[in-house]
This record gives sequence, C-alpha cells and structure tokens, in this order.
Amino acid sequence: MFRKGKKRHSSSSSQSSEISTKSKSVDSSLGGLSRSSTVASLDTDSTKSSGNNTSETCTEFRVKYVGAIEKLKFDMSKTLQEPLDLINYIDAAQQDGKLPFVPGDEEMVFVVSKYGVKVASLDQCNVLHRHPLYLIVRMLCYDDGLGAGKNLLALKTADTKQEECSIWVYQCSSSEQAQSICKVLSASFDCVLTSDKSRGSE
Amino acid sequence: MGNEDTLEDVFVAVLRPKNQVSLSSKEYRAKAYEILLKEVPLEGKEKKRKKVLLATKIKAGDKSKSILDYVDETIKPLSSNQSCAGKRVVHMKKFILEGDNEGKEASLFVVPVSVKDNSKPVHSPGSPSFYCFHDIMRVCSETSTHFCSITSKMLLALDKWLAEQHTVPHAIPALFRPAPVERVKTNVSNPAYSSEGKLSDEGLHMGYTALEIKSKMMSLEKADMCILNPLYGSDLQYTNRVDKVIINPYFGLGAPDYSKIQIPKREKWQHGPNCVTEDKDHQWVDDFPLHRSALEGDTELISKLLDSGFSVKQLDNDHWAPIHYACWHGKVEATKLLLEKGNCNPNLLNGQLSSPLHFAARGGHAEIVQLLLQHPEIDRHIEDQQKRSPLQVCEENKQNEWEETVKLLQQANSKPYEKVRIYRMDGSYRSVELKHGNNTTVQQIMEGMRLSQETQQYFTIWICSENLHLQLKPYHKPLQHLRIWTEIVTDLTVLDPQRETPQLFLRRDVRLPLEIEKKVEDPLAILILFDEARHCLLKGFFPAPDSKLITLASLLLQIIYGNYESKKHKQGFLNEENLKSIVPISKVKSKAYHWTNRILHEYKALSTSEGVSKEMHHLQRLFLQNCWDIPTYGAAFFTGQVYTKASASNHKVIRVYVGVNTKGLHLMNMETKVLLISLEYSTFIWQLGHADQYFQIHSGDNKMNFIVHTKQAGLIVKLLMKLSGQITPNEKGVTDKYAYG
Repeated sequence: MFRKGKKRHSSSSSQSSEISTKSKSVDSSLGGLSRSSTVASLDTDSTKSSGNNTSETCTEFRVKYVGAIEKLKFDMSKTLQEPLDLINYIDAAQQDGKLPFVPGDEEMVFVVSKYGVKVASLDQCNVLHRHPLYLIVRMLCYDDGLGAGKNLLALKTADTKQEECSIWVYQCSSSEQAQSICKVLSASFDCVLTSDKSRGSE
Repeated sequence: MGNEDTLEDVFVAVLRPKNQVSLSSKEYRAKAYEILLKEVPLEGKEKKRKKVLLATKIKAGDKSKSILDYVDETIKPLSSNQSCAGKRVVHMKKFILEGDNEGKEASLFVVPVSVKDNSKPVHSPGSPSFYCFHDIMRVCSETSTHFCSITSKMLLALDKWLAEQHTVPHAIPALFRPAPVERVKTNVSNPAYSSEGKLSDEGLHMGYTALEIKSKMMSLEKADMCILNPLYGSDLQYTNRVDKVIINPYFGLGAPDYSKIQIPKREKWQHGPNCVTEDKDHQWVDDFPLHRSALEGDTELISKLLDSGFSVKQLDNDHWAPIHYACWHGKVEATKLLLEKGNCNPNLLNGQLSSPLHFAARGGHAEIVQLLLQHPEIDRHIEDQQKRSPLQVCEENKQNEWEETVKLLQQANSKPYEKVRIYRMDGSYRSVELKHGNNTTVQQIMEGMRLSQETQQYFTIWICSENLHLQLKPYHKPLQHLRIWTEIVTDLTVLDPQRETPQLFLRRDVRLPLEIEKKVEDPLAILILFDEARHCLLKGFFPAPDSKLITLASLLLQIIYGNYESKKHKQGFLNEENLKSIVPISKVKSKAYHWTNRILHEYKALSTSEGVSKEMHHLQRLFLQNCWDIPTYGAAFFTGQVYTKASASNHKVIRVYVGVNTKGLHLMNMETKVLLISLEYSTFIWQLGHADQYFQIHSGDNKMNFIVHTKQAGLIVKLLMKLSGQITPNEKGVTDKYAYG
C-alpha cells in the first residue's frame, strides 16, 4: 500500500504506540470531529500501523493529483476554517469547473515526514509540491461522493505571510491509505513537539 | 422590503431526482427530476393559482447555511424522512427582477435533495410540493399564466443549466452527492493553527501554545526561503528555442599564447563582469569600426571606411582582421567587398594562425568558401595551428551548409593551380604553379622552376620594378610582396609607387661567390648568368675601361650573329640599333661610334681564332669570364644620395647607385654610370645612421669618409655584413622584412 522510506528505527512498536497515544479516536458524529486533537479517526478498520516515522523517517504513498486552488485571500480562508466548509468549497469549485472531479491518471509519490509533505513524480526527480510542515493548516480525508468510494485528501496550506491560503486535493488509492496518510501527518505534528521536548530537557 | 438593505432576495430551486439511476444517465431528461414549487393565488382571481419558486430573503454572510436552513424548514413538513435535507447550495445565475423591484438582481440557487423516497408525501395545503420537472416544463413559457413570470424565466434557465450539467462528466452525480458531513472521514489539523476553529483546553496543545508549536515547526524547516517558479504548472509550451548562443571564438584554436594574455587591471574588473565586457564591446566598436561593420555585414559602411583609408590588415585586440569577422559570421557581401575593394589577402592569418577559409569552412558558409576558393591567390592547402585543413575543420564542426562546403572544398582540390610568371633577364619567362596561392614561398617556386639541383643553387627569386630590385629569401612569399609592393616602394624609396610595377625574376643569388661561379659548367646555368650579365652591361651597371667594353661587345657579336662575315659585317652594320644590343646604353651615343672599328676587328679576330670554341655556352662563359673582374659584377644595386661640397658655399647632391657584392661596396653616379668609389671589404668600415636613413663609410686607407643617404641603408648595411662574412649564414636577422637571405 505504501512504502516506507529511510527506516532507521529501533523499536517500531513503541513508536506506533506513541502515535496511538496521541491520536484520539472519536465517534463518527459530526460533533465528535476532533479539532483540537491531531487525528480524528473515523475509519475503525484502519488499524494498520502507519507509523515508524520518527524524526528521521519519512513515509511514501502513491496518490493521484486532482488539483489545487491557490492563493485564496485571507478573508476567504477565514470562511474555510471548518472542515465541512472546506469540503463544501471544494465541491462548489468542482461544480463550477474550477477543479476537476477526478484526478489525472499519473501517480505521484506523496511523502510525509516531519518536514512536511512532498509530492513528487514517481521517479522522485520532479518535485511537484512541497508543503512545509509549519504551513500545513489542515488535512482532510473525505469520500468524493461520486459513488465509486474514492477518498480525497484535501490539504489546506497557508503562505509564509499568513495572508493567503491554498487548497490541494489528491485522490488516495484506498480508504486505508487515506487514513494512514492522516495518521502519519498527525504523528509528524506531534513528533515535532516530543522530539523537541526531549532535547529541551537534556 | 426596501429599507432592509442587508437582506438579499434569493430564489431557490429545490431539485430531487426521481430515482438513483437517472443520476448516472448521460442524457438529460427533465422527466427524471422533481422540483419544489409553491402555489399562490393569482391576484384578482382568487380561484386561479399560479406556481412560484421558493423565495426568501437572507442576510449577508454565510448564504449557503441560511439557504439550507430555509430549505430544511420548508421541506420538513413534506416528508417524514430526515434525509430529505438539502445537500448543498449551488449558485446558478443572477436574474434581473421586474415589476416593483425593477432593476434589482436576484440569484437563483439550486439545492439538490435526496432521491424521492417511497414514503407517502404529506400534503398540507398552502405548503410547496414537488412537481415533475418534465410536466412543469411542458407548460412553462415566458408568457405562461401558470407561473409567475420570473419563475418561468428561471425554470427555463434551470432546464438549460441541467442539460448543460449532464454533458459534464461527474457533474450530475456530484450535484446530488451526499452533503459534506456525510462524507468527511478524517480531519488532521495542525496544532500550530489551533486558533482556527475552536480552541482546545486552555488553548494549549501538549503544553504548548500554537505560536510555540509553529516556531518549533519552523525551526525544523530546512529551507530558509522558498521561491516558487511562477510559471511552474502554467502549461506554457516548453520549447527548446535558443535565444542566444555565444561561441567561444577561440575554441579549437589551440592553446593560446599565454605570454600575451594580460590580466586586466583591478579598476577594470572591479566594475563587475558585465560592465567590463560592455566597456570592452563599446570600445571595440569605437576602435575597430571596420571590424564591426564586417561582423554585421554592413557593406555600405565597409565601403565608406575603406574609402577613408581603414586598413583591411588591421588586427583588433583579439588579433583578428575584419575579414575574419566577416567569414566567421558568414557575411558573404562583406567578405567580397574586403577582398575586392579592400584587396585583402585571402590567406590573411589572425593572431591564432587561422585563415578566413578556415573560419568560413568551420561555419559551413558555403558561399564564402566558394568566394575564397575562386580567389586567384587562395592557398587551398592552408593549415591552421593544429595542422588542420579547412576541410577537416568543416567536417569537425558540421555547421550550417557544411555538406555543401565539404563538396566545394573537395572539388577545389582537383582544380588547376593559378600560375605566376618568373622572368629571366632576357625577357623569357616560365609559369610556375602556385600550389599555396600567395603563400607559396620562394623555395617552392624555385622547385617549380624545374632547374637541376646544381643550377638551382646559383639563383634565386628577385622582385624587381623599374627602380627597386630586391632579392628574396627562401621563406619569403613573393606574391605577398607583389601585393604590398606599393608599401615596400614607399618604405624604401622616395619614388612614386604607382609607377613601379613589380615582377618576379630568376636572378643570380647575390651571395654566390665568384670562386663557385667560375666552376659552373651547366649550359643552362651559364646561359642564365650570361643573360643577366649582358643585361647589366647594357644597362650600364658594369663600369669598365673602353677596351673591356669593346671586348665584351665583340663577344656579344659572336654570340648573336655567329662567325664574322666580311660581306655582312661592314662598318655600317653597327648602326645605333645594333650597338644598343652590345654596348652599355650610356656609351651608345657618346663613344660607341668611335669603337665600331675596334669592335669589328676584335669580332673578326675572335671568329677566326682557332683556340676559341664556338660552342654557345663556351662563348657565354667567355663573356662571363671577362665580366668577373669588373668591380660591380654580381652586385645588388641600391639607390641613394651623396652630398658633396662642389664649392665652399654650396652643396651638390649626387644621386648614386650603391652596389654591394662579394667584393665590396661600389658607388656609381646614377646618371653617368661612372664608378665613383669602389671599396673592397677590409679596407673600409661602415656605420648605420639614425633610423636607418643613412650610412657612413670610413676608409682609412683611402682617407675617405662619406655619408650615403638612403631609406635602404638598413638593407645595405645588412648585406655588407653578410657578404663581408660578419654574419654567418645561420644567423638570420629577425627583422629581415624584405631581402637578402
């Protein structure tokens, strides 16, 4: 399903448990959608360990690129604070023809690490997008609703000046993969804090 | 209604598909949909009703939510099913209102709802209900009384819009797909942006504020700055069109002469690299306009510059001449003009020893190559510093029309060579092939003269015009001397160069020692030596006593007319015309008439003498024998002026010939051909004057001291040194521009 990148971990079990401790599982009701915790897993069977991503590892996934809406003014980004608003916005953009409903055929490598997200061509020669971790605002995994059960990954990023935001949409190969990506990213967020904390205490 | 500006009129078309199948149909059928309409009583006619679209007023802000709330409110009574709620709000179009609200705009929003369920509709009078869209559209027209006019307008537009949506893949399923809330699965939000949305417990995440988290993340960021290519993904057509190519003009020219390369001064390169090259370019344009116009092929300017005296030979700072630029850049007309009008040497080398032909061949400029190859003086075998031929250079680079160029260069090799006439002193000539065009050397020409090895060594090539005769060295290129003869004449004499037409001659090598000449037995060599000696005699360059001249004259008669015949060779036979061919021109009028008897007498004696072989080359050798003791025999003659004191008050200028041969130095009065002074080596010393403009002769034995003024002083002194044995033959003077190897 996905390949692990440079693995340099001594104890995968401890690390995966690290993820689970930080990931709060919540129920599927809307109100339960976690906003403060990093991961809200709605998919109960995504039990596969996504982790092993310590600060030195990165995890690769194969996704397809749907499209992006870039450089939305800050005013607009304010109305997109709620996850559902984001989906609504993407839906509307698709309906208006500003964003395709389905991705192109080409697969990309979606690399998640503590540095953020990198999307590159399969040979990793051409980096298409790079989303530094500190500019990633939110990642949403949702069903595209077109009946085929495809899962879309929406990434909302800010620009360095915090004036604009952009929305990037990728299609996952499966629901499990989508969940995994979310978990790894969530772990990345937490990893920054824990690794730093340990360093600070030394 | 009008006073609440914050409220906006909206119309809402609530649509639902009759069944799931219709969603995947590519063909649009109004039959597949139901639309929610309200019935209102027709004004005035209470019994009649007309249908209208749902309409409401919403506040600015989150329109979608307001509309969805309104729709939910409206539909709730119609169905017991919860899923009937509006899925989304799609803005369709803005319409201009009529009637009371004339000029105002109102938007029509489409709110898709779920597929019609089987539960029985709850009908409540006055509330809206779903109608088959197909049925509605059948009766709907702009003037239909069944509908409110704005409603019918909107319904028509909706019908059209739906048809359009059907043509877009996925658009219809997407329109009726579940609301976001039903589709969202996972939300991962960055704690660094926790200010977005609701704050978590006390605004802290794992004990950090959002700001702290963000700074931690930023510190992880590898890049300090990220600059995105704004054109990336813009789908601009990528082409490999080249805007500019800069070719190193020195490429392939071999290792440069590093001793000539200077590092520019600090002030120059401190301006920055661009500045320096710009400065340099500007200066180049100013300093070398002919080079620049050749590069640009500006024939008009070239012509003007040539007229104003710019030299085609001038090399710029890169040691290129204009023709090199023209050939490198493929400027045909410019090359032509430089060759024809500028009389540029087609084999002119640049500082890196490349020729125009190399440049033209390298660039595959077939037309220029053709032009150069047609030039009579072209050296088609020219090689560059790496010993490459133009053909090789052309094939190595394969530029432009290189195939055509290769063909031309190959064809040229089979063409006959141009020839040059090498004259002998009797006026005959031999045409010699110029294998290397004007690069052909004296040595190569000598080889082409088809003389025996032995004969060859007595002679060499001279370049002579009316009043200037120069012997060339084996490595000299005579045709290039011919080409610059005007300059040479100007350089060495005060004569009008236009009247000096140069030709190449095969003549006695001035260095040939008499001892060797005396041993010459080859008839051809003797003939050539004889012709030259006779020429010198008749021109008056052999000042000798009368008896000697008479003997030489009688010998000439024997040689020309054969044996003496008393009937034929009477006194009247030696008329002026005939005398001219046997006695020096200076004597023909003054003395020769008195000599005729003596000449004929000696002629008779010679013819009848049995001890003398009448074999032609023996006679000629006899003639030479008689010449050898003449002081000026075998001399190279220069011209100069001597100032003498005619009286105490005024100076007299005497124009003189300065003859230098293996014997010594001889001064002859130019007009009278009288030998003024003849000094043998070791009896005099010489000194070259300032700027090679004169030389001084001092002879202690003869108590003589005089100065000869001549531009040829340098040549004379050098020859004196050489022939007197002060310079060994191996010591080649570096500055030997012209003569006397």
